[in-house]
Amino acid sequence: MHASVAALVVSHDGERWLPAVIEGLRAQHAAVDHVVAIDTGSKDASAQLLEDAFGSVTRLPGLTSYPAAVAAGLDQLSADGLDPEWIWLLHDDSNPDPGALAALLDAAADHPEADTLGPKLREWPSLRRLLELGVTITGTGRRETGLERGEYDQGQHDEIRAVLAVNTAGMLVRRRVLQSLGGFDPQLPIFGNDLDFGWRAAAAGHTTLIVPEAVVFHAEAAHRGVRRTSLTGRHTHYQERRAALYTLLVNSGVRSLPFQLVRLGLGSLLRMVGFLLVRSVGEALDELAAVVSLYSRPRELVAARRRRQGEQVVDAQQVKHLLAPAWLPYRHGLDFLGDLVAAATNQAQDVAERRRAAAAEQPGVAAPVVRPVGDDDALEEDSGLVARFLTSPVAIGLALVLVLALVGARTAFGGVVGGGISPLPEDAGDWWRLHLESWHALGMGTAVPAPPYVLALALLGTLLGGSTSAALTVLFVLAVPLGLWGAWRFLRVVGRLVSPSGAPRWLLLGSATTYALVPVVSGAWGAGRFGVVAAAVLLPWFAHAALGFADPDPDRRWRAAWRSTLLLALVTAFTPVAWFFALGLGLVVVAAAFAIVPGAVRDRSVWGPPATALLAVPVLLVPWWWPALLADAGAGLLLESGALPSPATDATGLLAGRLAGLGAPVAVGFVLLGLAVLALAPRLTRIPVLVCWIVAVVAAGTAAVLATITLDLPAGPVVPGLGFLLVVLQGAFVVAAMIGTQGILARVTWLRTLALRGALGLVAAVAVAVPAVGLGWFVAGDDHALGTGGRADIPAYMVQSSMLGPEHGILVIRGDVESGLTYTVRRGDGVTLGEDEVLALTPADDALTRDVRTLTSRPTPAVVEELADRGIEYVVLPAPADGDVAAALDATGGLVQASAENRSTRAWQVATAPDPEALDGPGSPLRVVLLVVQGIALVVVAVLCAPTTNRRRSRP
Amino acid sequence: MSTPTPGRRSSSGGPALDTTTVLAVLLPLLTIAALLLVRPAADERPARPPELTPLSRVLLVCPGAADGAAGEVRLSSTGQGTRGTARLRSETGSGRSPVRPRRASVVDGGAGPLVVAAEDALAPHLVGARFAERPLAHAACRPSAPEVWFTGVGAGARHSSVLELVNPDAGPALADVTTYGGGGVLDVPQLRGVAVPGRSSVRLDLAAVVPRRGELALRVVTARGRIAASVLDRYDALGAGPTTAEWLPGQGEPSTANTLLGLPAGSGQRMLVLTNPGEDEARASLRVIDEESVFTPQGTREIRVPPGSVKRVKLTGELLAVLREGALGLQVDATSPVTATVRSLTGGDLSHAVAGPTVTESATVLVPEGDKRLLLAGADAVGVVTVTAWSASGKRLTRQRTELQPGRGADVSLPEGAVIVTVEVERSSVVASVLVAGRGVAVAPMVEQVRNGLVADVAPGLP
Repeated sequence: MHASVAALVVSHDGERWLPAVIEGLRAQHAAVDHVVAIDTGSKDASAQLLEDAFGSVTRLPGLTSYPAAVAAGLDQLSADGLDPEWIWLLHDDSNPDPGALAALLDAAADHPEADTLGPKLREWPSLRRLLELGVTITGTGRRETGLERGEYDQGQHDEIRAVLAVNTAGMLVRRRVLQSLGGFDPQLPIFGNDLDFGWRAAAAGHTTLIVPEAVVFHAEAAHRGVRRTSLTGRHTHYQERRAALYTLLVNSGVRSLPFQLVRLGLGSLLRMVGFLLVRSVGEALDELAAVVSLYSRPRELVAARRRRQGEQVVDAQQVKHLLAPAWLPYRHGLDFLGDLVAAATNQAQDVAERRRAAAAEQPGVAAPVVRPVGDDDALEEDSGLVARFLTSPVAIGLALVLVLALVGARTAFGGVVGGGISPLPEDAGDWWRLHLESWHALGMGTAVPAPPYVLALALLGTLLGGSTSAALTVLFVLAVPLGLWGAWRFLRVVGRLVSPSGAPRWLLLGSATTYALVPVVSGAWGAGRFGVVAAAVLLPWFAHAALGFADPDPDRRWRAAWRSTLLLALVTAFTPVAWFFALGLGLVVVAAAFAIVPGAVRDRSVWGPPATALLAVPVLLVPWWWPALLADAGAGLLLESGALPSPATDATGLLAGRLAGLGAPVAVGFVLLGLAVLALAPRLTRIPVLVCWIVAVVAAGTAAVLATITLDLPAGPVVPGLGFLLVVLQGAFVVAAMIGTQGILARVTWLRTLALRGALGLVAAVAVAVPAVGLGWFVAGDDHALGTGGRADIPAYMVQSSMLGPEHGILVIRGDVESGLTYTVRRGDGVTLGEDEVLALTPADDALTRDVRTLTSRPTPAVVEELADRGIEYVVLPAPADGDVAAALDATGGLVQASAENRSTRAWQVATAPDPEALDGPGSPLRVVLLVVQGIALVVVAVLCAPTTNRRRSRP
Repeated sequence: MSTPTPGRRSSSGGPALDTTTVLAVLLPLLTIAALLLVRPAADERPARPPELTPLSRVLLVCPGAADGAAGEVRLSSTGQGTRGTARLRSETGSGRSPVRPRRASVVDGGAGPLVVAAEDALAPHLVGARFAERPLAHAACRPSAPEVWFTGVGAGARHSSVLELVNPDAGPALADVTTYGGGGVLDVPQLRGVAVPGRSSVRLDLAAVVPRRGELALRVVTARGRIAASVLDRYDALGAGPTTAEWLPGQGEPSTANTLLGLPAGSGQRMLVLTNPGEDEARASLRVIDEESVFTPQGTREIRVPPGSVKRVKLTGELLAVLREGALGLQVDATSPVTATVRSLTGGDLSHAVAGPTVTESATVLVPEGDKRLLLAGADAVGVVTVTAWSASGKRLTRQRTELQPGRGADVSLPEGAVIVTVEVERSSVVASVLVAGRGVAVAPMVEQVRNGLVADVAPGLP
């Protein structure tokens, strides 16, 4: 004989679920003695349904909270003169299994100490997935069920156990206990009142059990935002979060309270950043609002805590075992990271398959094309990793290429300096300062902004523990492997775009290796042209992102836009010419697209993403180019990064992929060009090959336009850097050659005649020679400028003195009277990477030039005084010093001869102390604003290009 | 970047194929055509020669007098109408001396080195020299030079030399003297980093510093400040005759073609000294210059000079015979740069013929009175030389034009009273020396005067 049970059903716009709930209630094996129905201002037929089913319904206004509704139900019972032992709480979206109540009551009979019992909650309508088996709360306020995501109910948790709390949907609670604890806390109108109640009950010495045998199906309508009530509004997350924080703050022990206050406050801020990073702005704001709403009303918290203290009979330690373990939040953090990686991988799923799938959905197209499983794939099914590796020639080849690439890059292991790489600053902080400063105490002081790659290098250096040399070493050592990886990814997708089966892996390996070696065989690697090297590494990644513009899904096209923006900005930072090329290519491609599909003009999601990618790059790089134009250093927009002079190149070099006088044998370079031309032969793949050639034409056109420009820098005329275009041309040739090969392979059975096959074999042999010779040259070659170190012809004690402050400058005069003198001013730790370009672009200081001319011809004490005023402490004529100039300076008053280690280096100290304010310059509010704009733009773009991780957002 | 849809390709029919074929030909051609517009950049910075400005300040250093013989210092101005006052500073004190054009005024220089400074208009025209009478000796007053070579100095009992380093400035100066000997470069710590305090001089008697027999060569490089270096060469017959002294002119830098003028006729020994500072052996050939030709006398052999060392060759046989009869000079051509001096001991007096610098415009030299000839050689083209001579009091004694031809020398007799000798060269360049014979022999090489200051082209350098 069961004790008396009154079911308490609260409904609010639950018409969708109520009929099933009523049916479930009626079908209970154990009899429900009374049913109290409460409706909180439903706008649908909920109240009527309840009235029809249970005779009477208490109608309350729409703003009634759940605790208030339950309290009203209890009052109703008392008013009706009923005194049931148990109250069974049901929501309008929780449908009890017929045996639910009986199982709960049985458990109650078996465990007389239990005052609250909860059923196993399963998902409605899928019915099999577990939702809750009792809940607890983590230290960070997360509602913890102890279940895996989407775990299926297979009876794995079926044991009765004590828990902190059970959901109010299906909760069976002793009326006496419910009333003695004052019901649910009205501060928690919708969410979290069950947790708070459970915690209070536990503190008051009551036991809460979960009874898995009892099953209730729950739609979680409010939690999922399916049902919007006037209480939750649109901000369910706000309510949930506020409830969690409230629960923790009012129930935790006195001693841990201060810690909790700080932890939850900071934690919420962190969560807010996290939400922003996954583009959940609304939830971030909810998070903030929840904290603010609670922390701004401490009185409510104090009052609530005081009420609870009255009820407590059990020590807080005894409740602790019911709470979630302390490590749990960190495991969730790991899970989240895992999610991110998974989402990123998912995002990178290739555009080729999605296009095909989209095409298959079009009416009139037959079955979707299924990618045939190749021989390589078949092996993957059931062999171990080692076996798969050893039996795959491609894997062994790849490993060999990587090992050889690392061997070839051995010079870079000890740190890279020389050629285009000026000496590196001490740590990444110097790069940060260079990037953030508006006025540099370099030369005679300059407002020319730092080149844009300084930010990228500063970030990389900081990630590597602040080491600048590590940043450059990573770039140079991993140039080939990273380029290979990027090229492989890109070429694999290209291969699948061309044919459903994709390109064979050996072809991918050959092509990707050829491309990855472009920066090396061109001579850019050996000459320390780190800009070209970085651009070559990044280009295939950018190209891969840009393939996303062809995605059938507009959302993915926009994602691709942001990713392309970021990568293009990075490439442009290293080789500014890249943006002009991208602009040209974008115009050509968009024009061609509109010529072919005129309707595309109207669809903003077609032309919008590429246009955004192009136009957002200047925003990301705005603290560089705008101040550069203002500082009369616009030449930097076309210059190659790295120390001047940069190696020039000509038509032959661009076609063969060689910087002038550098790199591997030129003849090998022409082989690739020949292959790219031959690739136009197979008709099957001619159109994609033509696309590659369009890219080549645009690159060649850009090069032709740039070649007409001569940039007049103070240190002499220079030509715009064409290294990036060289990489693009070679990249286009590689892709064309690969696609052409695919086309030939598809028709290889047609080649009946022996002669044709022989010719093909010959071409293949020559093609293989390109990466092989390149790699061999890389490994064997040792003729490069890396590791040669910078000029160390300034006496060490002067360098030490110059570290004292920017005004302790050293005027270095090189050359001789006969062929002309050049001067530079060295300050601080010398001219380091990044600073070299700032100085090269700084407009000439005519007054200083005049002073130096006077100093080297007819020096007077007045000129020497002028030097002191301009922050020059030493004058140095590095070996071989011009004897006439040295003799003249020796005879000048105000200059004191200084010693130098090298006897043929001549040095003088300016007798007057340098003016400490000589290098002070104006700040630039504009640049500060632009830096802020860049920072915000970077974060926004980074957030926008992050893959979609929020499961609630992704469509089922 | 957009990529074509593979699906659409198959539907495009025949005409599309034609388009692709056209494009397949056109695009590569377009690419190559566009790239051909990319011309290799002329990244060479054009040469930036210095600007010439009138010399506004000059400083000449006349070496100290030969032992005992005080001699005299004469100053003159070569410019028409450029007179002025030269400031003199010797070890005993300083003074001033008026300098008048075309007149060789005698100044009281004392026995020590004399620093003569002139400014403004006088600066480009100031010339000076120190003479010794018995036996005849001559040393031009020269500006300081960053580097100078003295070939054929001695450090022994018979033949010894004194190196004099004069610092005309107030600040300290430092000279690095490299000593070459027959067996290579000698390690002489006393000659490395010789400090010369401001406004003073240092005399180094090589016989005391590096006592040794054989010929030496000195390379004097100014490491700090300004230094004028000179060498006084002495020959002591050790009882067999009187001691004779003569200043040894310096040579600016080693050269593969050395024209040595000023070989006195008559009996006596003649010693050729060659220095090869290079790292490879130099092979030098000797030719005699006379008014008709430049020729190799019979039996003259090629001289091999080991790397980094000095080679002494006693001139004998047919070559000596030709020289005794009065050749103009000697042409020494070597496979790598060498320095060369012929030391003659004729009539008991020492004289030197040192590889002389080329005169391209004009040069003036002050010479002592006596029988004298102007020797010219090494013309690189057919040209004309105008020779003018004045007496010490400013009277023009002669003015004659002489043709120059490559491959032969010229010999111009000058009046005995000539003290100021000027050559003006047109359409050619030439090496010139005045050979004076009186009580002994002196050779005065003609050195082009520095008339202009050089203002280097200054530009910001690459950082």
